[in-house]
Amino acid sequence: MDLISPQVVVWAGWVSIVVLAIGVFVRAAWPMLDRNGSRSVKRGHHVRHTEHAPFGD
Amino acid sequence: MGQILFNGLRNVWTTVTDRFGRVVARFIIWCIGVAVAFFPAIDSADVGIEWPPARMAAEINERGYFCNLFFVSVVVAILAISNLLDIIIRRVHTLGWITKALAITGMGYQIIYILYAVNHFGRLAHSRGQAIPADLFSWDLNVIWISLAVGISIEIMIALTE
Repeated sequence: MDLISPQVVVWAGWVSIVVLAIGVFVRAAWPMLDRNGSRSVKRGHHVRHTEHAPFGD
Repeated sequence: MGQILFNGLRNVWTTVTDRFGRVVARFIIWCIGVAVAFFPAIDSADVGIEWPPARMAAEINERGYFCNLFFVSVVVAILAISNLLDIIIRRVHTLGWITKALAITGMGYQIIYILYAVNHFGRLAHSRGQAIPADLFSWDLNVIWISLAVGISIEIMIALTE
């Protein structure tokens, strides 16, 4: 007996593809929305800006 | 509103053209990995490359080597998990919330897939030499297709993040 049915895997796959497609499009179109809320970044302990900050500009 | 949409579409175009080389490089590496994973199925079942692939899969199943074909989706999942863990762990402090959400979505699918595949692959390997039932074959083929699609989507998402 499988832990999960193949139907669940297929549905989860479709949901993931749709979410990934919309997310990649939104992030590329409006990079300012993809903010980094990490406190350690604000304190400057790591990198100060998001790695993909320019993202098209 | 029109200006925001226009700027957004222009940003998409610039992003894709700027990172086109990375997307192509990741795509080629991914295709090589998947092609290598196909060899055991093609070799053990002794079938030629046929079109459409579903017919080839049916032939591999008839010869009792479907578990070798299913193995392709396992390799795709391992590639995706490896790359996702890389960006989640190594670059977690520098990623934006959308990128994190996309990485977690991809990882969520891979966890669901692994929960299905670990047990199922063992069962398929146990019944090697005999064809699996038609309905299970149909669903497993869908699982393989969807795993390939999610795998390449994750690779493109990561390439556009770099």
